Amino acid sequence: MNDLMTWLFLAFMSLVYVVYMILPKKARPYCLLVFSLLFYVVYSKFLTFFMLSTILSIWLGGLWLNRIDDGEAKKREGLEKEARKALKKKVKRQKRLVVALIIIFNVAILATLKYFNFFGSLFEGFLSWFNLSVHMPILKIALPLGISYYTLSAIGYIVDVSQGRHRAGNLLSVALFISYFPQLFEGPFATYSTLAPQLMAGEGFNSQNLFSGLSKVLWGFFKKVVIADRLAIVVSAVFSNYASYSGLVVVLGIIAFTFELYAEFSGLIDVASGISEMFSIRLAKNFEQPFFSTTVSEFWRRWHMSLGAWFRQYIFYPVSMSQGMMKINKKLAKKNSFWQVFVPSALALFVVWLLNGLWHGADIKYIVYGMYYYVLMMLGMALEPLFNLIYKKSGIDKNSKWVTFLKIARTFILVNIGLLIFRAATLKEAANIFTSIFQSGELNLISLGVIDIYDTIWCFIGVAILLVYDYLAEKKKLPNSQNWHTAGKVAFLIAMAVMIIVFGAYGEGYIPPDPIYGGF
Amino acid sequence: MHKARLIKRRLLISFLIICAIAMVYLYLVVIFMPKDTGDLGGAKYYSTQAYKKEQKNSIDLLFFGNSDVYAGVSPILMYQNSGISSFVCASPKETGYSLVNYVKANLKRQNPKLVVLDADCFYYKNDHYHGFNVQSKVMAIAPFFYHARWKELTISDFFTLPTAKADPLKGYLPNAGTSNYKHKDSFMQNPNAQPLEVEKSVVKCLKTIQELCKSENAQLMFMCLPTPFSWNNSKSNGVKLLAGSMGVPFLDLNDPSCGLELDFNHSFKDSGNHLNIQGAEVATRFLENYITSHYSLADHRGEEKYKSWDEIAKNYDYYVQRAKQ
Repeated sequence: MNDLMTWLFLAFMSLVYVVYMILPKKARPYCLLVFSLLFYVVYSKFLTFFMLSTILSIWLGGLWLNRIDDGEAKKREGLEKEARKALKKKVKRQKRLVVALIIIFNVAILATLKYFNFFGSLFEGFLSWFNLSVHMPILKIALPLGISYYTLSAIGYIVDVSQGRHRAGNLLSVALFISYFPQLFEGPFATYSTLAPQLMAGEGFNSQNLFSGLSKVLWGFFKKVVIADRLAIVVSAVFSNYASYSGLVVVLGIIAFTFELYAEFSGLIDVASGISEMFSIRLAKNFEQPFFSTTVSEFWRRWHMSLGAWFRQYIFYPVSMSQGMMKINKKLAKKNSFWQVFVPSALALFVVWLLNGLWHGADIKYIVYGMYYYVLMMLGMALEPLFNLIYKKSGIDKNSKWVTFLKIARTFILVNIGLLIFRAATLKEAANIFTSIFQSGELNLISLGVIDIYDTIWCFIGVAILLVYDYLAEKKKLPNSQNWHTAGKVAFLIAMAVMIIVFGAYGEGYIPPDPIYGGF
Repeated sequence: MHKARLIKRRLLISFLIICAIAMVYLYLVVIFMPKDTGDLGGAKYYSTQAYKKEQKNSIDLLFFGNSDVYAGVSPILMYQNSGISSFVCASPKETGYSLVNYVKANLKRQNPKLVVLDADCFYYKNDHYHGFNVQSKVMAIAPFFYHARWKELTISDFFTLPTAKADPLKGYLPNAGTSNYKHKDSFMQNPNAQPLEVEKSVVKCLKTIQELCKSENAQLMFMCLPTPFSWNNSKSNGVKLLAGSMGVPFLDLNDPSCGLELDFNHSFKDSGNHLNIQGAEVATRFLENYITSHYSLADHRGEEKYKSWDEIAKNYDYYVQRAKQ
C-alpha cells in the first residue's frame, strides 16, 4: 500500500468500526459483510466476480454435502450391516465427487488467473525440445485481491464440511468467512469453524479489545513503515546493483531482506489481527519468533504458521493417509522403523513443498524455493541418526546453550539463502548474487548516497527492536498491558503513533515499496 | 441512573483522550514545521511570505500576480536604475479571486504609491495552489509532510514557531535555461478578437482591491507580462474593456504595439510560459521606463533606510546566481 492507500484504509477501518458498534448485535455481521464487499469492489472492481463465484460455489457445495449427509442418516435407519456399508461407500463416493467438483472449479479460476501464463511458457518450452513451435496466448488480467488466500480457505471449508468437521454454513456466514476484509491482503488463513462463529457473534464494544487491537495495529504499522520500508532502501539498492558492492554489503543486503520480509509480513498480519481484535475477533497466529528456530522444519512451524497448518491439514495428512501411501507403509513395515517414517514423509512433503513453492508464485524460482526447503528437511531427517550418534560419542550435550545457539545461527543462514532465491528476479540472478558475496566492491552504502547515516542507524535499531521483542516473547516476558491504567494505555498508543509518524520511511525522499506478499 | 453515569464517564474520558491527541498533534506541528519557510520542498515558494520581513512602509510599488510575475519582474534591477522600492507578491497559479487577501495583507504593512496587478491571473478560476493555502495546508499536516526533519531537529525547533524569511531579490525568482517560443508570428495577430469577459466574481474582487487602494491613497494599474503560452487577443481585449470600465490603466506587454522588444528565441524558460533571466531583464527595464514616465515614485538610493537595498543592488548578480532555478 502506498501512503494514500494506507490513510484511506485507516479511514475506512474507523468508519466500519463506528458503524459496527452503533448497530444492534444482529445487524453487525451484515455490516461486516457489506463493508467487506464494498472494500473488495473498490479495490478489485469487476474482479469481485471471481470471489463471488467462489463464495457461491462453496456455499452451494456445502448445502449439497449437507443434503447427502442428511439423506444418508435417513436411509441408514433399519438397514443391515452390509447394506449400511454399501451405503456408506456410495455416500463417500458422492461426497468426494462434490468436493472434487468444487475444488476443480476454484482451482481452475486460480490456475487460469495466476498460473496460465507460467504453465503456457513451460508448455512452449517443452514442445520446443521436440522442435515444435507453439505460441500460447498470454492472459493479461490482474489478480483479484487475496485470491490465493481465499481460494485455499474455500477449499479448506468444503473439505471440512465433507469430513464432518462442521455443517455447511448459511450464505451470510460463508460470504463473510471468505470476504472478511482485514485478512484479504496477506492473510492469515482461517478455518471456518474458528472464524465464522466469531464473525457471526457480533460482539459489542470492549475497551480492552479496543486497546489491545489498536496496540497491535500500531505495532504492525511500526514494523511495516519504520522498519521494513527503511530496510527496503538497502535491499532494493543491493539487489538491483549487487555486482558493484563488496561481499559484506551483499550479505548485509540479503539479511536486510530477511528482516524486511519478516517486519513487513508480520506487521501487516498484526494490522489484520489488531483490527479483528477491535471487533473481538481473534485471527490465527501466523508467526512465533521464527528466528529462534533451531532447524528449518521448526522455522516453518513458526513462520507463516497458518499456511503451514493449511498444508498440513489439507495436503500432508490426505497424502500420508492415501491408499497408495498405506500400501507403501505396509511394505516398509517389514523393514526398519527409520524408513517406515522417512519414505512416507518424503513423499508427502514433496507434494507439500512443490505446492508451497507454487503458491508463492508462478515461476520456476518459487518451485526451486519450495524444493530448497524440501531438500533441507529431508537432509535433516536423513542425517538426524548420524548427528545423534556424533553427540553421543563426543559427549556433547545437544541441548546445551552453545549447541542451541549454533543451531539457530545455522538455521538463520539457511533461511537467508532461501530468501535470496525468493527475492532475486531469476534463479540465475540468485546464483550471481550468491557468488558476488565472495567478490570485492564498494563497501560503504552511505558514501554512495544509497542511505544516510540516520536511516542506517534506524535500520539497526529496527532489527534490534524486532529481535528483543521476539526474545521477550520467546521467554514469555512481554509486559501484560491488561492491568494498565487507562491513562497509561492512551499514552502508550499516542507514543506509538508519534513514533510511526515521525520515524516512518514515507513521504518525501522515500519510495514506498510494493508489499512483498501482496501479490498472493 | 448507573448507566447514565457510566455514559457520562465514558464521554468525559473520550473527550480527554481527544484533547490529549490534539495537544500532542499540535505540538508535533510546532516541532516539525520548518522554522525558516525556505527550508524544504513544499515551502518552495517561500517568497510569497517574504513581504512580512520587509521594513514597514518601505515599499512604494507592489506587484501582485502569478508565476509570470515572480519570474518576470526584478525589483532590485529596477532599484539599481531608478531607486524605486518595489516588491513582487506572487505565487503559483494565483487567481484574480484570491488576490484580495494577498493585497489586504500587504497593505496592512506597506503604504505603496502604486499597486500593479497581473491580468493573466484574472482568468484563472481554481484556487488550488495559492501561496497562503500551500502554507496553511502544509502547516496542518506538518508532522507527516516534514517528518523527515527529525534528522536535523535542534533544541530550538521544540520551542519556536515558524517565521518568514526575507528575500533579498524582493520576490523575484530568476529562471535559468532557455526554451524558445516557436509561434511568434501568429501570436497576438488578431487585435479585433472577441473580448473574453472576466468573471463577475473576479471583477467584484478587483473592485474591492480598487477600493482598498483608494483608501490607502495608492494608485492601481493592470499589466500583463509576456506569456504567449496562456495569453491571447481575446483576453487582452477583455481586460482592456474591464480596465476602461474601472478607470484603471492597463499595460499589455504582449501587445506588439506596446513597444517591448523581446527576443522570443532567448527570453523564455519554457517555450513561452515564463520569462527567463534575460527576458525578465528586458521586461523589468520596460516596466521601469513606463512607471517612471507615468508615475512619480521616489528614488531611495543612498538613503539610510535603504542601505540594505543598496548593498543587494551592488551584489545583484551574486544573489541571482544563488537563487536561480
